[in-house]
Amino acid sequence: MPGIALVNASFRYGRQLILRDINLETSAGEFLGILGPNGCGKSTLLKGMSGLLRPHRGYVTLNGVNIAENNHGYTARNIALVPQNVALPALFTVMDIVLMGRTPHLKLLQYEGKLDISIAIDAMEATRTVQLADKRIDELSGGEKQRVLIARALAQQAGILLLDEPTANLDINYQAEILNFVRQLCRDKGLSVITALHDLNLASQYCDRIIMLKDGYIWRQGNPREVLDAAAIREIYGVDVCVYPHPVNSLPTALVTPRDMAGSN
Amino acid sequence: MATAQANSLLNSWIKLYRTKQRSAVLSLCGAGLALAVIAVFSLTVGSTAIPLQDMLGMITGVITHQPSASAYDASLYTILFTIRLPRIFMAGLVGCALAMAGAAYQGMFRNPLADPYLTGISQGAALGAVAGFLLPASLPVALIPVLGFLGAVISVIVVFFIARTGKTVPVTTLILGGVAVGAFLASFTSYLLIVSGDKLHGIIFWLLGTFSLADWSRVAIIAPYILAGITVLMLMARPLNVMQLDEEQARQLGINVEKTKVLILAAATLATASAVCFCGAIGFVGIIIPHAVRLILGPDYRLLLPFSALAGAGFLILADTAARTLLAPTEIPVGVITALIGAPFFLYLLRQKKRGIF
Repeated sequence: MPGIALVNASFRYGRQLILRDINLETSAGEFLGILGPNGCGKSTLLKGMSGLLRPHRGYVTLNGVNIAENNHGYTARNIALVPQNVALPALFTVMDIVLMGRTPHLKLLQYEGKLDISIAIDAMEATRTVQLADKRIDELSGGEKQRVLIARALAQQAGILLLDEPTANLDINYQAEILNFVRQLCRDKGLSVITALHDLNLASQYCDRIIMLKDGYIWRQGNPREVLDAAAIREIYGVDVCVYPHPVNSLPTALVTPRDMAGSN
Repeated sequence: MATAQANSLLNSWIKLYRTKQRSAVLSLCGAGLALAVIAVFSLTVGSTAIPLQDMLGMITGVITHQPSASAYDASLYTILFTIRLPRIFMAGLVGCALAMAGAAYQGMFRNPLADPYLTGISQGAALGAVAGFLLPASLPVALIPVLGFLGAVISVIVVFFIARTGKTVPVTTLILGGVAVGAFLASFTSYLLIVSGDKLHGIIFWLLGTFSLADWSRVAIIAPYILAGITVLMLMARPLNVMQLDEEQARQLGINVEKTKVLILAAATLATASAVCFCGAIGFVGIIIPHAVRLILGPDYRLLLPFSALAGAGFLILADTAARTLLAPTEIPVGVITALIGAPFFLYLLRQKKRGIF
């Protein structure tokens, strides 16, 4: 059974229970979105899926084997994670950071070779960071760093790509570009993509399946048309929105109205 | 067109990395050569100067097994082979150990202030050795380094188990535990110093660090431990590179972070404890040498570790040469010299590159 599966998995930090009884399976070629308000456990779920956080009940499997039993290198060759808001050491260049994505493929004393450099350059071209390759990390903007982290994850050449709010620091052109590219990877190479998103409309446009988290459990899941309606958004985020079909593809699109203008007209 | 461009880009990067690797090997050879020159220079100077020609003649004589010693002054021969040469080996080994342990700790703790003594090791060694100095004269003097070594290793083990929570060892707890245990042990040492009476001078000399006790048997005792320690540290070069990100990213990139931390801690402790047990806790080498190398060569641990080792060795050999010649025949503790030249040199480097060093 390829992919990640969570079976009755519960996660906590210290004594605080964050997620409970999560049952979830990824599948190849699927773009899966995780929605929910800040603090609902999106990042925790991604950490649990990547094996960084062990469930205190239930278990997580990768390709049918309990992820806790795999060695770290095997997990990293199968799962790449793009974290959110991480500090990168200032002295490294973009190329250095992207090449670190090759770590799980290299032996302890092996130097990066032709193949690794070519993979790193491909990853940087895909994320439009190749012109930054010899810049130092502390010379980059937040959005550029984000794209460098995505390039590093791509250089890992894992079949499962986990992204934690990949579009958070990006301008709208890069948001679309990154998501277009990631979805193309899904379609063309059969990558399994799981991403936490806070933008409902991007989620609607790009995801094949959406998981809505509420109070630490999966409150609802399905394709965008099934799950994104005004009632659900109100239930989860506590905000009133109008949901209209997108003019091009009729996927649900949520629109916010200022309170003092609601009900006018 | 686009692919041609991509190809030339790829080729230029591959070329760049090849050049980088080649120049790294070349400069490593250069640094090794510089270390040899420093060692030869240090052999010639001292309270009795040995002319370079005589020295080279005696050394080649020994290497080629020609009994030509008689051609040279017997006292020169003794000074060279039983006093100076082991002392230079000792200083070189200790410099290697401290500089590499410091470099590894700075990466593992992601803290520019980290040095080999961070985990309470120097205070542990000091307490053990000072207790050894104060033992009744009927006990063998050889107990001093043994107690120093044990004190060092035990204090690190205590700090390790204090810091451990479940299966992980958070580095901040490790640092704070080291500071606390170190301070606790230092209070005993301070008390022992007060009651040490006429042994105080010797103890202070040891505490500041000195190579005046170096001889071949001591070199032979610590060499295997130091070599084992720095070999393990060398193997940790790539994990250390990735761990400079943060532990979660390192783990996600396939590094077994907890195992790596334990290995680094064990190897650095072994090397450092061996270094301090005969020579005292020589300061400054373990913190400034890795930083100096980092400022010049950048943050790649595959360069940082070997160059730190060579630079640390060269620096301590020179510092020890200064220690035994500046006020000859009076000897200055080498720890005084390392701080005296180390600190201004480091400040100079900091001024040169203000763009952040870590």
